[in-house]
Amino acid sequence: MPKNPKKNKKPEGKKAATPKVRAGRTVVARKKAGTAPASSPRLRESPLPVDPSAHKFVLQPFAPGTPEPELPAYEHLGELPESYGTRRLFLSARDPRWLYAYWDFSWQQLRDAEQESPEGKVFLQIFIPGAERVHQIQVFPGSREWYLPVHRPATPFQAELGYYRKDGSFHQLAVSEEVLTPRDDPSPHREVEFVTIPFHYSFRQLLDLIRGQIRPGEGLAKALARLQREGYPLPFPYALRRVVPSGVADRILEYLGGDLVRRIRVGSLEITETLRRRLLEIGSSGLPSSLSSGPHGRDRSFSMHVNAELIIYGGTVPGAKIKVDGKTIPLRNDGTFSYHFTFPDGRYHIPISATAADGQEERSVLLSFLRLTDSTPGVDPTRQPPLPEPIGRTA
Amino acid sequence: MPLGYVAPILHAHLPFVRHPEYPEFLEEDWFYEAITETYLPLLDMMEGLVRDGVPFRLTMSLTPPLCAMMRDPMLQDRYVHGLERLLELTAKELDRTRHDPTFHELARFYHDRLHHSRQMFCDRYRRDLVGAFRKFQDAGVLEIITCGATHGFLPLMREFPQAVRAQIQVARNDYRTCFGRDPRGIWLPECAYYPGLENHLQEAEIRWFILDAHGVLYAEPRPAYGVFAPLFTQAGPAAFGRDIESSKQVWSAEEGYPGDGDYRDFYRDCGFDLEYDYIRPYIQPNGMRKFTGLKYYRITGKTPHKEPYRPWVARERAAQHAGNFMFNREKQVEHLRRVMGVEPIVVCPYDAELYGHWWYEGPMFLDYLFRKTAYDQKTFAMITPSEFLERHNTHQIATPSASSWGNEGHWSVWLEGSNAWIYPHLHMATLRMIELAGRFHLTQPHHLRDRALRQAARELLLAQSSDWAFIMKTGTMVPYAVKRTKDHLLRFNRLYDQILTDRVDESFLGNCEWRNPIFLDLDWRVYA
Repeated sequence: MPKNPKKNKKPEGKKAATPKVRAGRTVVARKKAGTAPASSPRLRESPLPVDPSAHKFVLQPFAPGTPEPELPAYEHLGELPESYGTRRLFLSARDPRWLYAYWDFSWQQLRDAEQESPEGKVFLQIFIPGAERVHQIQVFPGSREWYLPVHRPATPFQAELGYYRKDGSFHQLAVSEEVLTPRDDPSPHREVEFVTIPFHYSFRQLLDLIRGQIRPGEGLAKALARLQREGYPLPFPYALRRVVPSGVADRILEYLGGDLVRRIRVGSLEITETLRRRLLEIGSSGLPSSLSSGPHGRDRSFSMHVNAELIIYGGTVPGAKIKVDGKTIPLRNDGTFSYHFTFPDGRYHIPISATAADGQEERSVLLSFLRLTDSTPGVDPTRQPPLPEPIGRTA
Repeated sequence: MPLGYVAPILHAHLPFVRHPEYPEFLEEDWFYEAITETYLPLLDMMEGLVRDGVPFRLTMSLTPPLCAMMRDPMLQDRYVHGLERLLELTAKELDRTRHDPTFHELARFYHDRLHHSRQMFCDRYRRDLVGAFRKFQDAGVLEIITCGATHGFLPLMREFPQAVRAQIQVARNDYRTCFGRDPRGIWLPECAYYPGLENHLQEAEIRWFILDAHGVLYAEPRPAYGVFAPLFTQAGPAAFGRDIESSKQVWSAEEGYPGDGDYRDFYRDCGFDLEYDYIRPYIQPNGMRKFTGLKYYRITGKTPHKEPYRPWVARERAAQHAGNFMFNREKQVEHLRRVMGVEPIVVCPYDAELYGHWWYEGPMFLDYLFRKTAYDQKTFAMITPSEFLERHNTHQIATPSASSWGNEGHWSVWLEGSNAWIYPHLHMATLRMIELAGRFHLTQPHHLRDRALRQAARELLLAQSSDWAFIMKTGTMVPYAVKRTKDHLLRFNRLYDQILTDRVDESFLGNCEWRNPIFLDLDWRVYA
């Protein structure tokens, strides 16, 4: 039994190579020797480092210090290829603010495309179908993917990869499917359509019941709702013209919004914050509300309120250090960051710098802003959630 | 009549981890720990509630990989073997602590608990946990729902409808095998939804699914009753939204019940606290320490110093927390009923493994909650979403918003710097599986090729498990998740080449089947 605590600190993995007497036998041996209880194994008194993330998959409180054991040869199945060269372009709306694109082009395929292009440049372009282009990124042969900030919820996007011909037209090497960024606020559409779908009828039975009545592109629930509105005979009772009393939806949202102000659920801070802010906007937008406690509850006189906040966002390499106006900003795991603060009237110069993890390289940028508010009387600042004070203010 | 309803839902899931090529394998402990600390205590709780005639309703997902592991004889053997070893350790602990009443009592506590676990697992259920849960479903107190076949993150395979369809159809078929009926609800893996997914659910006759709150609140058009009534999607399946308030009460690291100082500390474990030579036979074969499940300390507070665990005090605390949870639901339901004018449903979904494994007293909390709800109040009743849809079949039509229950609410946990590299490979394998199915589904059956096609589909499904990307992101056991992803893809690619060239290597195929025998009746034609 080690008496010197340091003895325990030597790499324990090494002990496995030369198995010692099993502890069970050791205990027996101690008993025979009449070992006093005081020298029995003792519990460690100091706590272990704690990593509360991913608790479901935690089997050890911390990463073991010893290297992974060498695997037997039959475990080696080879390596996955760098690319498959299918020339596919994949686009995903990762969240309301970010798109992610990857392209399955080999190094040689991209190199060839570069050589074919008059400018020697291949681009990834993001556009809103039928509208404007929002991103143009030069793609190099070694690159495979890109994260693209768009900050436009509920908007369709598409990606294309290719190069510009001499006449200025774009030669498309690959095009992605169209994707839609998710909403980050409650829909402005408030029409409520009810339908009765009896649970004891299978979807197949219901589809069979109204086969011939479904219009092209119409879903089962939509078709049933229309038929029920029209009084179509169905072999089960259904609700006729059910309505929601006015103000209910607002009061429910207000209840949830108030809840979100107090309680931000674990793991989704950002989205609940967004929801809360949207709810504040709804409350202050003059939309119908049955509440008297809202910012403009029963006061029906005309009014206006305006405010501004500033969000700085960007990205660097994971592990690097970002400073905004001299203040170190926590970086997300994927290397992106954002900083959000109030933006009262004033002139602002905000230096932003990124330093590589090894301190060997630095990139920097200076952003300047001016806010001047000139309004007619009776315009108030819109209520803002608690935000950090402005930074970089010079006047 | 109650003023409204509360639907507790537990999502029981673990990725398929089974390594016959090693005599012991660390990551299999996820399953063994969950049996002892979550699944058996939940079964024990339900046994007690039924025995005492307490009316209750619980909904649980038991995912196909979890069911496959529960039904696997090798894993059952290993679990029993592990229990025997732990019982041996607790016997030694009784001896070691005989002069220390505090820890001796704790050693006795674990010794008794583990004996009880062995009795339940071996004698009462004869190792059949799927059958044990099924019994409660058949008794009408538990609703078991399904999940994606391997917990694949469906929005990131949206471009390949056959792949989404396969995740749903294979899961539905597996559910039939396990539970002898069709599933009525589904826990979408990670609650991840995109508009249009409901069409696949309609095809599988799945009547409802669960979303995080914003998935319902941001639906199009705006939901009249927020998350407190389901929405019918255009295809028919209903979407239930997670209640934020009740989630917060249990989940929050700061305010949540599991952080109470009287509850058992998860991290202080004999596997690390006891001297090496003594604990050596009960840790990993390579000599690295690991959790044993014998945890002697309570959370105490935000201090490195930890006090010994007191099970009877923790039990009392769990009862208090259950009372508090019930009181808050009463107030919530009263308020919502006043506002809505109809019965609200408050949906409370949690990871099942939170209860027992992470929050050791969680099953006690649930036990008290069910008992108190049945006898100490009349404001709300417990319900399953299926029962709710049976009683209330008229709801608003809306299309929920793309969402997940992961951090930030969308895809960013499963698509970021640490794990985005997997998608080009997963998508390529998906395209290849669709190609194979398209090519061979109308050809004459060919035994060896059919086996290879079935195994290729298994390898693809296993590679798609969202757990691998999640583990890569969270940084725990990353090498294992990377290796699993690569191995399944590499096995798939090799099988693909062999099938296409009509040179199936039976020994390689046999090795794949031996390692990953999930979905024995898998119909690879689902990809056609």
